[in-house]
Amino acid sequence: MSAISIRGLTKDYGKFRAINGLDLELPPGQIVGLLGENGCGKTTLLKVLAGALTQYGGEVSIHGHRPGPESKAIVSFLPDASFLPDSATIDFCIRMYDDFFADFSREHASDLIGFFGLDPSRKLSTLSKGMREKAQIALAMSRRAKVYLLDEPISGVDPAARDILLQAIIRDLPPEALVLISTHLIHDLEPILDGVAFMRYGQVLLTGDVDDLRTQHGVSIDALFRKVYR
Amino acid sequence: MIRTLFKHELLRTWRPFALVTLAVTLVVATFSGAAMLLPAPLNVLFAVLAVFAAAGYIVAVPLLISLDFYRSTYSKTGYFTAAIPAAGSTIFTVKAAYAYLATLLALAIGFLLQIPANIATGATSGVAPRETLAMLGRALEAIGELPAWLLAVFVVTVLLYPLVMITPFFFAATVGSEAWINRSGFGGVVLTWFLYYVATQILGVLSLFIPPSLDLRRFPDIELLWDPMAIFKIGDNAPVLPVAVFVVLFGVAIVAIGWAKVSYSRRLELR
Repeated sequence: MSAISIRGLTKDYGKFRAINGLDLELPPGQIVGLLGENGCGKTTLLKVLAGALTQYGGEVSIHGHRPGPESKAIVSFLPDASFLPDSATIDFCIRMYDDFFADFSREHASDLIGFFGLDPSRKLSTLSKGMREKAQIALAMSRRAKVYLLDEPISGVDPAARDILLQAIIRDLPPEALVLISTHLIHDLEPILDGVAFMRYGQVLLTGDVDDLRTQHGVSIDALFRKVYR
Repeated sequence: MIRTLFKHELLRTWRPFALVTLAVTLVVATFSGAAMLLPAPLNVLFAVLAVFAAAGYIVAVPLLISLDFYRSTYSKTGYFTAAIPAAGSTIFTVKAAYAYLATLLALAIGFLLQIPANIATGATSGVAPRETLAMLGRALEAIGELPAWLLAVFVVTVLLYPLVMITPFFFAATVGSEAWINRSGFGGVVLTWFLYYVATQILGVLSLFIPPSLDLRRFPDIELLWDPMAIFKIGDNAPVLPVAVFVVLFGVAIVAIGWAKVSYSRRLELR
């Protein structure tokens, strides 16, 4: 069974069509980069999959479930924006995740928080943007989810921090999990990717295994992206 | 999951709730004290302010809880709430039930805060605190002496009142955040609240013409008036209660909270 199966997905914002008849099949057990220019529909697609947008057309299925309580139990979503209360400490956020998500591992969260060198007693409001991003990634990746939806997880942080964030994402990742990461920082992400889906104008332009694409086109994914979007 | 949702509603809101309660209690106590100690006309000014502060508390709490509802479902932390593996209807019901209970508690605290404010008001016209308390006691006794059916209506009214207070805000937050209007951000919420307010005012005025009305002029004997114009014929200050106003008010609140629940569970759009 596909981890994610999408048929003819459409999503409109008023008169603007953000997703235009998108089809996509993604099997479990891989890390897939969702690549494309700004405004091509990456975030919208992830929000639909996460159940944060409910007014859309077409068929969307995550391990056989439409976006809803069943899919949310197996999907860990990291939105582009800060989504945890400013006044909460990292410790409180860990307890909050533990309360709501049956697949959450406190040990893994503590391990990642330690890996990032964060003090769990600090309030989120006192953290820098990069530190906050690390805390949020630590929480999202500490669920033993079947699907991880990560929206621009490494944007807005310096190159050194990007490497650490990427290491955290793949650290103890369940082998059967699908990780779908949207980004335009392809060069940074390329080393950890198994597959890619290029998006443009709300549709998937190109999808495939990164090794196959590199062999087929004779260039890196970063170079292929530049060629496709030129 | 329901217990966990309730727990986190409480964890998130008890501090601001306690802070507002403490602040208003201090304000009412200070103003009431000032009304009893200062000479006229300052004493009257502080007595009125104490009454307003106690009444304002009853409005402030549902507003505070409703703002938290908006923040935790559509604004900053909405993505976390939307990711919780529970049906949208369950999440909404818990949040609305929590807001209802908090408002009911605020009504009770607000009533208690009115006691010192009323003692202070009485003192400004030479009424001793003991006499004011006796008057309040007699008012409560009068409620106890109501006919059983009217007492039941009174209890139902008190129990439904918190729903009437939170519904405009919950309706505005959910329906005002739907796809058709959410491009204007919080403006959509304010506009929806305003339209709801106008609609309920119009319905309220129209329902004045719907009989029956309760004629309380010979209380505790109560007569039902079936003349649609009764309330206008009898006069402005006559003790006549138009039943339909309450029925419409409660009916609209029940329909609107149901609408809001459907909106959150089926038409959620986080931008």
